[in-house]
Amino acid sequence: MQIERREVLRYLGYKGQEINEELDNKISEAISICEKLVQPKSIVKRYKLDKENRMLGGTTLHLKGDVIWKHLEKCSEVYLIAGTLGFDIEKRIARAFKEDATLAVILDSAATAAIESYLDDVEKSFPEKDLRWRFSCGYGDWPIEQQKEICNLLNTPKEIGVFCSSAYMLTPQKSVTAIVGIVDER
Amino acid sequence: MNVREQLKKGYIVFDGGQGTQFQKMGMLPGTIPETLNVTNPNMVRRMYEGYVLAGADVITTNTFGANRKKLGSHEEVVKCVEAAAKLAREVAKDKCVALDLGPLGELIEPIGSLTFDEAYESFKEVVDIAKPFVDLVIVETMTDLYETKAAVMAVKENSDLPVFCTMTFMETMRTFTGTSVEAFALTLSPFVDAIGINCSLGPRQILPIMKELAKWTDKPLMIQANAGIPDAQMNYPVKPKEFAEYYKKYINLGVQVLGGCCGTTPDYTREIRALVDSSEFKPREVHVPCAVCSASDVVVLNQDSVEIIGERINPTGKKAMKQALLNDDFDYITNQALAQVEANATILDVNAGLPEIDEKAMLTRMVKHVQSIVTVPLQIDCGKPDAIEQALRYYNGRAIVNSVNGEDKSLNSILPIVKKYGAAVVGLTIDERGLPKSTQERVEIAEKIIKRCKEFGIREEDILIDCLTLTVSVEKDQARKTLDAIAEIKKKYSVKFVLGVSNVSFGLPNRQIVNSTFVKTALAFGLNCPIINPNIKENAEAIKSFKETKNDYDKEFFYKEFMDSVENNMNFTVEEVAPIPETERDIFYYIKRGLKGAKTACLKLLETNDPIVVINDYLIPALNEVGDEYEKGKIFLPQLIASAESAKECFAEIKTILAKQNGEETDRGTIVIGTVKGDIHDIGKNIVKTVLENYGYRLIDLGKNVEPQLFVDTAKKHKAKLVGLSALMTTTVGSMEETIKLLKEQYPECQTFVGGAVLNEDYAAKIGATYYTKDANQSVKVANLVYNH
Repeated sequence: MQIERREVLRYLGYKGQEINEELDNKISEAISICEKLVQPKSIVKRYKLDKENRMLGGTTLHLKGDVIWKHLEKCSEVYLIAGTLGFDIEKRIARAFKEDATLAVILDSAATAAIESYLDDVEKSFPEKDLRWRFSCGYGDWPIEQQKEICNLLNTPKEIGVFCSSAYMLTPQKSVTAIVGIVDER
Repeated sequence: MNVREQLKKGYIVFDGGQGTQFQKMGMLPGTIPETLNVTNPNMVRRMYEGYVLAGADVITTNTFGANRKKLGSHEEVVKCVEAAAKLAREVAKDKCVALDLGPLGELIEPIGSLTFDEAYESFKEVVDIAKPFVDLVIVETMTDLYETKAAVMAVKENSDLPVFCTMTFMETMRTFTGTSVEAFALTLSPFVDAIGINCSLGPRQILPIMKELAKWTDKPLMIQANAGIPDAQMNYPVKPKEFAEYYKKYINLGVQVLGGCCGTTPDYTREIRALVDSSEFKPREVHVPCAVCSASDVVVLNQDSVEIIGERINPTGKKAMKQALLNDDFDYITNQALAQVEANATILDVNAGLPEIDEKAMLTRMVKHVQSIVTVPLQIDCGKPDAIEQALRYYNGRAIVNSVNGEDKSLNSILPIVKKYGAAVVGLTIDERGLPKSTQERVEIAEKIIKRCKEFGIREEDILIDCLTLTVSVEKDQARKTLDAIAEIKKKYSVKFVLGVSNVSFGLPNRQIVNSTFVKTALAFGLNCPIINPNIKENAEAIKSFKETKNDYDKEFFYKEFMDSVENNMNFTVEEVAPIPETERDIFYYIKRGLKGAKTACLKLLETNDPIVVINDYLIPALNEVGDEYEKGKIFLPQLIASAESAKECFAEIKTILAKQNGEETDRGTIVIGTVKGDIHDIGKNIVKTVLENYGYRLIDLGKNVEPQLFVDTAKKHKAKLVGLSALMTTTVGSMEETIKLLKEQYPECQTFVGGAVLNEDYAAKIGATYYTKDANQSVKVANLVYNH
């Protein structure tokens, strides 16, 4: 996992503005706090797609919506992934808002960069190289309500400490669930 | 088997994994296993029977996730739990049935959106349905201490059933949410019949965690390990014989309740049965030290411990704190809490005693707030039994209750509560006769308190005695009486000592020196926990210097130093405050760059300008320039925030001056802000708040996951013309709409502005918001419009 300064700035809406030394130091500080506090964890399971019934094969999960099936057109198998940075960084960001709001917004972006980078690493560990990009519920017409079923299927509360609230939000907030399609070999 | 009796004399064998058994019998992944109770009871029966035949003393109902949060409705819960419990009862015959309560799958505030009460009610619902059919309750696989406490209390308060409780830990000895093994034991031992660890790891990895747990509880211990840590194909590596081999070590540790978790089968139960039947039972001997804790941090109080209790979260004699409580200004409390912890306070006192407010409600609110900010344990400072009880109920850890005194009324009403929640307690050496005059009186009252505590089952070492400091300027030898009382009680008892010290110097000039020499002296006489303001440099230094020199001098040396400071300060004058340093750069420079120098520049301006002029001609124009630059993309988010933060300090200065001149609060208008019910994302709300606040608005921040009614009530109470609502998800915009509707009904003159990732101009109009603000800068424009600035 690598927290790229460039990515942190991108999440902060940076467009080439001049950065003074104080801010520059703060960005470095945020990145190093983030690196120290993240406890990345993930769980991955592989499934065959049951395209006829629009389900994840061998499970009870129907994948709803059309966009996801369009996205997975060229795939007959997928990885289901859940990843998180854990609670410590979450608590640190909350604390920063009470102490130093500037640091807090940078930390938040650094953590976003961290979770994305971590999931990139998880994908890199898969033997297949031709993968579709991570597709999460809430994208397109894939209803956010399926978040709960995904967490249930991967048993995320027990496996990696990721919980889904009644409004379908993940806690810790810097957590992601996604489907990654394995593109069929031609 | 009578479970409680059996715990006094021997072992209990629990069953093993259920999910893995069901999958073997053909259950598809993604199925909620609890639904099988209704859809496929035969499968559940086979699972139960397997464990009964294998020799389990207790089988667990298939109700791990059978709660309202996971199943949706009361009817579903009734159907599922009743079926599971009845069937288990039928299969178990003379064996015992344990009602299984697993986590709700959602987290409690502040990390999650569930409230403690909602969690309690969800567990209570299950307990009420199952209690006619079961012999005990097992609360298991928990990762959050607060949720675990809700579950355990729901059992205790709604049934007479024994309750066993296990949490699941990582090898770091913490749960996912950060609960430590010690905190788990200290907080929940008072409520449970057996306590232990289950799931996540195999018997080898859990052993060191169990050894730690054993040090912190005197309750019977329980283990339900996984069959090792599974590989990617979910194969569990530890086989039944090997599993039982590891369990021998648990038997040697004195663990009494043994079962399996994920990956274990009736074959494992058979091996455990054989192991238990061939093992002789020896009761465990343990002495748990006196310690208090939050969910994560533990403070051990030994007889020679020195721990600072921070005194600042208390409105008594503190004008700013009093004002903060009256204004619902919880940010002020936040700052006090953080500052004290920063200055090495390891316990914080929390007091809500103000005649104008509802102490019971406020104390609980403050306890919940402070425990969400800092991780140090808290001391509940209150004399009203109902307020204490409620605060302890919502406290996520083991607290100190401050205090009981020597009067029967106080002892009889408060000690049962202290016992119920397993808290530590401060005993104040005062009684119906009034302030104690002599050492002897103090010792007598302390002895009475100690005796009564023991009658209620509270251990001597869990009592902290406060020998009361009186003012030394009135009667010089008063301090000595307090000190001698500490030393004398300490000779006979294993109690600890607390003492508020600032009283001692009342009426003297240069109180700090007197206070700090007195702290050192009291520590030398045996004080453990001075209750002080750790942010006063002299106090912190006194404690540090005592620790460094305590072995070099005897207590009389410190006493002499103290008395000298009293003598010397009888005729001492207070020094003038140092002059403000010159500034070279103007205030625009600092604010635009978000630098700390803004405050000094502001003070400089205030020397020659009216405060209102400083606001209107300097601060606001500077912030406006910053806002414009942000809009044009010349600066980006962190720079906007930094500028706002530097202006905040200036506003704080001006506010103080104006308050002195006018005797009242002066701000540009009150705005209530929060993230709506169900939503726990607060970054956007926090950014908007920071920026608005630093434009001189008074922000009442209700936090995240806020009930619609609370927005309305707060806005009305503080006559806010504007309420800001944040929501990040489509799923929570509904509660935003509800909040706006409620405001329109009950407080129509109030306007609203809304923001959040899923909102836009049209959407905002659709749900009835007055304004949509795309960013923090936009919200300033809205506020200016509403308040005519």
